Amino acid sequence: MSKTAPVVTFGLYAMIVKQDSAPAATDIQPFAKISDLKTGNTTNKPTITLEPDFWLLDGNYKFRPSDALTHVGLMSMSMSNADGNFITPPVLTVTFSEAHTTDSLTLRFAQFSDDYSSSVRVQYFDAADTLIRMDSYNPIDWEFSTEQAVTGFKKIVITFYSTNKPYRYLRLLGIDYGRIVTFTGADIKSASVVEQVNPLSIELPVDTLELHLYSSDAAFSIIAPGGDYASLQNKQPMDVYETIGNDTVYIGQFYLDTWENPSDTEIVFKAIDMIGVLDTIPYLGGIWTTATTVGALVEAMLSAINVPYALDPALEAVAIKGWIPICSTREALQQIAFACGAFVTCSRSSLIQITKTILAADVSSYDSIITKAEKGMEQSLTLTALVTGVEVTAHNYLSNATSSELYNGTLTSGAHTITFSAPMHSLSISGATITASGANYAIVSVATTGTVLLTGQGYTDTLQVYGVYNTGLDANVKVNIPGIKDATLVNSSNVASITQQVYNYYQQRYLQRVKLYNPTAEAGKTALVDALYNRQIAGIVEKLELDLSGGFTAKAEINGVVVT
Amino acid sequence: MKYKAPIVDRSLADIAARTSKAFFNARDWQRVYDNAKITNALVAYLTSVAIQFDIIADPTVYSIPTATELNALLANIERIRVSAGFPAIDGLVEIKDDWTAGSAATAPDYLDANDWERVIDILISTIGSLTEYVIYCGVSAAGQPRFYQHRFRQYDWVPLAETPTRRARANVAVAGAGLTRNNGYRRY
Repeated sequence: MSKTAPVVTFGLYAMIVKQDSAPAATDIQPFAKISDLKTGNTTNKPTITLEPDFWLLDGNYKFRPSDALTHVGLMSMSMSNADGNFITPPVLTVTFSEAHTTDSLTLRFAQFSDDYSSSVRVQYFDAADTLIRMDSYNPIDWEFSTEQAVTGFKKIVITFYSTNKPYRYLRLLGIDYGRIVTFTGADIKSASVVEQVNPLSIELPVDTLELHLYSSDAAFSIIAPGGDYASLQNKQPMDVYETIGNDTVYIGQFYLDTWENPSDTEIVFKAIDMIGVLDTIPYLGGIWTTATTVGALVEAMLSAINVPYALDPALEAVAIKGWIPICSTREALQQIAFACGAFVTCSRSSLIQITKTILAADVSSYDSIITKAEKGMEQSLTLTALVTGVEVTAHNYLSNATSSELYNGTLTSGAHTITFSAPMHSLSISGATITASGANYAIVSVATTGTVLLTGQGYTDTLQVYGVYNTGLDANVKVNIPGIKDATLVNSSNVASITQQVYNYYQQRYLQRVKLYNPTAEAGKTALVDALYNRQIAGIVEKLELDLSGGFTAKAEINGVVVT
Repeated sequence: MKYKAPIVDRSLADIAARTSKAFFNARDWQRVYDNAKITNALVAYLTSVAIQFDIIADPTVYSIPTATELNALLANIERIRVSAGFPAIDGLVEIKDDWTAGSAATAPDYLDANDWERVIDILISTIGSLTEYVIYCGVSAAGQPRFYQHRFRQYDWVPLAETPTRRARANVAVAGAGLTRNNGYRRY
């Protein structure tokens, strides 16, 4: 049996340096975006190419999407030769608006395929464009830190001379100004991760990490967390891996939520994934009375806050209209996902993945097949409550000309944000000026303290309840009809298909709980499980409780249907 | 161009051990395409049914193929499979030719690659027996081209006529009739 162990890394990065950076390269594929190195929006799935022995047929290598959706960081046009050397080495130049200081430079190459540059030169220039430091390195892994402090640089030039494998494009997916801290082996007393998805997005579950560390380092004192570890409080991401023999499985990226010290040497970190972080980021919402696409809506929402995501191409052009009130970005994303028939997860990825929902009954091939031999003794099969029907309320918004008073009061001089509980349009104001506005808010500027009167016209929300019912039941069957009323992006155009999908999902009544060893199943993926009575359940893995330190086991919940 | 031995036995063990079969390289792509082209030519010759066979650029180590290009390659194979009209044979499965792009989309794995090559291999290794079980509709008639009337023969192959002279014949050729009778309708 392979030895397993968790590995947790986090970067002690100076985010302000990264935000000030302007990376540039000329030797770059036309579809690659050098700005990915600044935003961090890079895919963690490899893009299929025909470089020798690159496209591993494990199903994780993906075809490149449209240029707009391609985020591969710096991928060079040049390819290294049979010796792994570039004839003309690709160069990355990073300029800054002001001089900065860093204690290291971290380069992240292609983890998925273990491709990296094996010979790198880094040059630092000061404000006068004078070379102040030059070092050459020979990285031996996909993630590399120079561990070299440099002060007063305003430009960095990185030259990549070779790749670790022959005939490879250069792939640089990240650059950070700081160093990496790694916890492994004896550092970790226990580590567990809970991954969850809701296939219908009736809720948007947050994946969590609980990490118990042993450290006698004073910097880990909760009373005065200083030095390196102070940055963990600033939502620095922690990357979690599980090593299984010689393989490494990426579990996901988490952000510190709570920090607890039960004793002088034990530290408990509880962390959440990016969906959890989105819950802390407000979204001002909006109204779309004519259809827009899911792609445009998600792009506008997540790119504005520099959150990397991967949208299923099947969802890109799905039309959507309706209203999103002021809420958290997580709630807004849930509204969109529900309305377009998608689920959202961050598991096994550093991106928010928005994927088209597939129901178990429609699955013909499975991401994992769990045989009796792979299951532990702990298992149960539950028949969930019969749902006899589903009702979903559609919201159809029509602008009206009824003017109403939105704010009438005294405001001091300066800028103020006034928010609305219902969508408005055609705003007018006296006593101040409107500097920015949307369907749910107005930002007003008051020159001198005084009375401000804000009026606007609203929208009429015409409600339509659409139901799908099981009409073939006996009269004595208990009626159980859940309803969904607050999905404000559901309208007369999509309510029928959404209601049918919700109803179909609730007819998947078998919930298989099973303990797995070295699980290959992933949350949100399909699985075929040997169940009781020599039958098989086909379903979606909706929850995984991973024990990363106790031999890599998982308690899985798979919801689906009996297929054989 | 010669038919090249396909790889149809890629396994999970190959993926785990990163053997040469675990990867899909330019030469694999080229082999699948070339073998499909050869199979298509043979099927078209024997069935007289020409399918749409899309030309795909030769791949190189520099290629970054798109889902559209792979789908074009696989659609060729699928069209040959359908055109051949074979009965159910183990391994002769429908080829998925609607792969999509993006990190959230499903992508081919070693089982899919096995299917691509296995289907071609089954087609080319079985096509020789096509005339054994294909039942043609219609009737053969006097004056028809020789290859057309061959369809109605019950023999694997017809030797060249000893006296290739044009002989006018009355009556009609009959499906399933003997060699001697049908030879009477040759044009030489």
